[in-house]
Amino acid sequence: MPDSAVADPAVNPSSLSKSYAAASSSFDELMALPGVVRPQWTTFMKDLETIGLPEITRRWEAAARLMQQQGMTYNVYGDPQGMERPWQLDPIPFIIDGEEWKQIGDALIQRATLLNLILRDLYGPQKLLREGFFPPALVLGHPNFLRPCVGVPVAEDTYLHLYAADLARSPDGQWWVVNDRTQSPSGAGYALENRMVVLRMLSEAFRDCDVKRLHSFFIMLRETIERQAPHGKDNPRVVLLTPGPYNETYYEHVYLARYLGYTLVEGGDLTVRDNRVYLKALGGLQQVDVILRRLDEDFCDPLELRSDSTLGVAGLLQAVAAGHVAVVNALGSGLIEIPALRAFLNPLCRHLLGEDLKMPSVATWWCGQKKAFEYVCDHLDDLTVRPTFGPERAGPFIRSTLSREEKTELIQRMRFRPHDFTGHEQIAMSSAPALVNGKLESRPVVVRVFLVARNGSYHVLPGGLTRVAASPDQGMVSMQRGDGSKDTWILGGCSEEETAVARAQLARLELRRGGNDLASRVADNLFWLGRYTERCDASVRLLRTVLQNLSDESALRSSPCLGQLISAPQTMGLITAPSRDLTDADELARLQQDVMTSVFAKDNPGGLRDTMGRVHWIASSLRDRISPDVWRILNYLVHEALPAGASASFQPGEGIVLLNNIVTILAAFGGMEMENMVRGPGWRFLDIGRRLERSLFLVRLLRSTVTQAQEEESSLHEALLDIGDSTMTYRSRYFGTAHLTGVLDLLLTDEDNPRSLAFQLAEILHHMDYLPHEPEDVLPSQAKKIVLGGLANVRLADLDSLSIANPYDENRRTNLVQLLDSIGRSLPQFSDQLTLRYFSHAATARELNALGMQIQSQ
Amino acid sequence: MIYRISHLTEYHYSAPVTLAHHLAHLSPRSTPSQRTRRHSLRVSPQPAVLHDRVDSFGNTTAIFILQETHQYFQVEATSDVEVLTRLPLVPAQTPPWETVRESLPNDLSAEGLEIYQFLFDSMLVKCSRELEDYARPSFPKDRPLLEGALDLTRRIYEDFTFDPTATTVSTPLRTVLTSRRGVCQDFAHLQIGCLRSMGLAARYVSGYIETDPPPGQEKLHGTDASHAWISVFVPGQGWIDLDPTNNLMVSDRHITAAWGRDYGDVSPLRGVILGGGQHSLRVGVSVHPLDAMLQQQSSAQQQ
Repeated sequence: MPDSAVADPAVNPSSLSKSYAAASSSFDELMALPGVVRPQWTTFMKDLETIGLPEITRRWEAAARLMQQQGMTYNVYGDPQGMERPWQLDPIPFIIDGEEWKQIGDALIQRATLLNLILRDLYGPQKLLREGFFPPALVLGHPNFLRPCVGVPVAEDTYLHLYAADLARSPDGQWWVVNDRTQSPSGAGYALENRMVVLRMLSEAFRDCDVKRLHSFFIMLRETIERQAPHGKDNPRVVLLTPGPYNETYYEHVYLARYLGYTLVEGGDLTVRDNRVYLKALGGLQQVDVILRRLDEDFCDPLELRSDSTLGVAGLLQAVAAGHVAVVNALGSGLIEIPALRAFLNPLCRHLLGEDLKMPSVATWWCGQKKAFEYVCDHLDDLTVRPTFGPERAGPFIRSTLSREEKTELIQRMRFRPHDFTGHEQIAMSSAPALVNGKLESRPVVVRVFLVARNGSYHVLPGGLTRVAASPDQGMVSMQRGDGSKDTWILGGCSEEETAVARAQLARLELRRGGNDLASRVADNLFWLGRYTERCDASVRLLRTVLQNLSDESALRSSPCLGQLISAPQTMGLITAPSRDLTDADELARLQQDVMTSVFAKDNPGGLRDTMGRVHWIASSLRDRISPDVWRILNYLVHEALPAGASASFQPGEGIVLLNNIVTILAAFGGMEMENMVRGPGWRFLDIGRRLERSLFLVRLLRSTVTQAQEEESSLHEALLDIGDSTMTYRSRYFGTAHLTGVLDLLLTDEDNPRSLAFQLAEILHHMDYLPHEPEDVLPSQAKKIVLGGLANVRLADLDSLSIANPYDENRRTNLVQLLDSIGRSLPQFSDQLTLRYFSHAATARELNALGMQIQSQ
Repeated sequence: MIYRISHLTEYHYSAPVTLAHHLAHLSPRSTPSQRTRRHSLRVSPQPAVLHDRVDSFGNTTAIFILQETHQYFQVEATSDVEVLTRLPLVPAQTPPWETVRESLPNDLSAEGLEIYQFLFDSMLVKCSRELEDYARPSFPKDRPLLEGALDLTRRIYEDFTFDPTATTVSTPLRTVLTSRRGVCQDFAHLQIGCLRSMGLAARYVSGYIETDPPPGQEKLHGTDASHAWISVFVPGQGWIDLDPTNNLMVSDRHITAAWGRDYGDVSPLRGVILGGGQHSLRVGVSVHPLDAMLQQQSSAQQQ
């Protein structure tokens, strides 16, 4: 086959690299010399040339949509614009040659092995301290030196199951370690997700370049995690412990839990009894064997560690010490994440492994040593100084760009507590090509590489998370600051071991059904997701009907019943504006404005926006439980349904269009729920939530609109049918104007109408039969009795007598009032009973304020 | 002298507690100057799990889990502790404080490291230049360490007002330093912070103090509840206990329960509970010298 690329004059293999301005002061990853592309990039650059940058740009618009639809985000702390920031992925991968990668990998395996040995000593005999290889101050003064963990054995002597290192390349081509991540390294999930996106968008280049696959690493990770299970248990129960949706990498927790097949839990989902850790599930307590933690260790046990932590599990440390549960990475492994460690690593390597470090760390001086302290003071302009133990994100550095006064102040602080400060060289980073405004430009990069413990050594992820600076001359890269990321391509195909692992993965599978191991918190959240989405739907339908009836041509507008319709959204808190005189045309116009305002108001608790916000919040904490399609729908609801430019100054017609749109979105959600969710307890709780909310809405709606008999009611009845989506049915059954008896039948008693109260109660009752219950419960539960009673009352109701106005009670429909009030009172009790029975142990534990025991005397 | 100490803690909850994890430092430790002859811990309701563990500071810690639903919870610790009279010290003969400050980081022996750990910031005691400024006048050049530490104890006693309403467990040291009010726990934290800011090792001691003064002696502050004071390390002499709340060097009227870096390490009882609503707490402590006959009984039990 002739090589058409050569024959085609439009493709000039070097045009892209010619227009690319290589970095002048730093190592350029793409260009070896002007005009000479480094060998590992040639195939890719050729492909890029063929595809063309305009096409790449076009594809990346699709990629950005794809990532947004998947909700791929990174939470930014303290961002008033809302926490979730879309994930930034540059189309141009970072490419490393297989041979060079082997050397990088060997160096990092050595480093991980060394760090694990150091941890083993510091949480064991502490010989390194006594023999002077490791400054005691860095351990004894470390706020996260977990004293209760000293001497607690860990499986296979491994503290560090997962390790990550940030690497940068200096101008001479040498790789340096700039950061060690030993606590609970983040980013491997993002690396995998980046790969998925790039694979879909650059499939031809990916194939041509013979890139190593990532999948086998995650199989190995899973094997390593499961091997930690106490007593070598088969099929251990593993959970991924997350701090929750506020955490910066929560998306990754969800993604990894799903990818690895583990239950995502928050501290409140776990409980310790009999020194064992259990997952609080609907069907009872389920023992947990291994915890993959993404929670910082000092937060893990409020009993023995930070007592102010509400994220951890009381008694966890004791469960670990008793050998009933394993934690990955082991509690305490964050101790050596401090930069000051780097100053001592080479002697430690010689001492513990008998060899030099294969990859140097960025030059670091710990001021606890006199000479180092003096050096740092003398070179403040060239160095970065940071608190030795401070968390990196706590306003990270004391930069060298300080005023004279600031410098004096810094030196004074350093002199007071020298061991609290560490200085290191500014990090030199290499530059790699990135797509910026449709052109290739060079940008500084840092690569995070991941290793997993395996067979007494470590295995390296053949890839990584490359971070790329947003501007060409940045001294650091940080996702928190809004820099981007890249996929990382290692050339050379997979090793035999990797292929074998990937192939052997066809593991045995135990068939399972049911779902009683659903965490109680998740069931609780699904219940509320059902309630809030339904509340949205009801609010929108009600507001839409009100808007429609306020237009000049509406019959209801001039009827005395208008006030009754308006009173519904008022009593429900949807419209907060004061009541208006409905006989005055100007006031009516203002009322129209009130309704529009209420649609868009951001600060109305219980209003539409507020409810939509709740939907989003609940859905966020259910990310591992709802399908990507459902997530996309809810994402669309929250972010797009009321566009940023929409405001109360819109015309009512525009408002109606928006509300119509929301009804459609919610219908899509309902369809997903009905067609795609497995009929397990999770779905039942979601649907119970929806049915309960709809019941409450119907009761309130009828209570505020038709319990007082009026003249000219038929247009009000029409409106009710409209809100209850039952107009068509009514028309097909009856001729002429709407009559209350027919309306009440459709909205209250007709069990074939999915919008009627009876339908809701019957459905709830049906669900109740399938919820987990104790075998000894022979009588219906309290919750069930409430629904049974309500349904019986509706079924036995006589519609004619409900419709009759009582002349002795100021024309109120006394019977209807009684029925609605009795059901309206009992439904909230049902919700309470359900909570008590199924969600109560989802409550979070609290600290007894160190027992409030201020030591006092008389 | 043998003391019988009874330490009762009671909790009433307005709502049921379904699960409670507790950790107690209520077992007086044995030290060169005291011996625990008898100790018992009674917990009600019956814990599902209860065991003792020695923490990294050498204190015996009781850890227990209450798994049955309860609205009332009580812990009663009873201990007979023999307190030996400590040898009198001559503060003037202790080494100059600067030499101690220089020598502390250089001792890498296990004992040296054990002492060295009490030089660093802990959760409730953070060193600061303000604390150093306050401590400085007590430590002129070449002053013997214990003289300086005693002078600091006296100044805290004189400058600060004992006021149980001024602070809570979570009042930061900074506030105590500016308001000049607090209770024994605050004064202990304050003196520890001062000593550590000067580069000296100091630890927090939780314990008890004799309730009934012998005839002619003043009743001491810190009775009817647990008490707290500090310990400063003096090379050649070991850890010397000072009580800033009462302005004295500890001899035979204090009973040590546990020590650590600050209150957080040795709080008598802490817990994490599920449920409970509002709670009310009652603590009762009594410390009595055993009379001769009971002392004999106690010895007999010991054997």
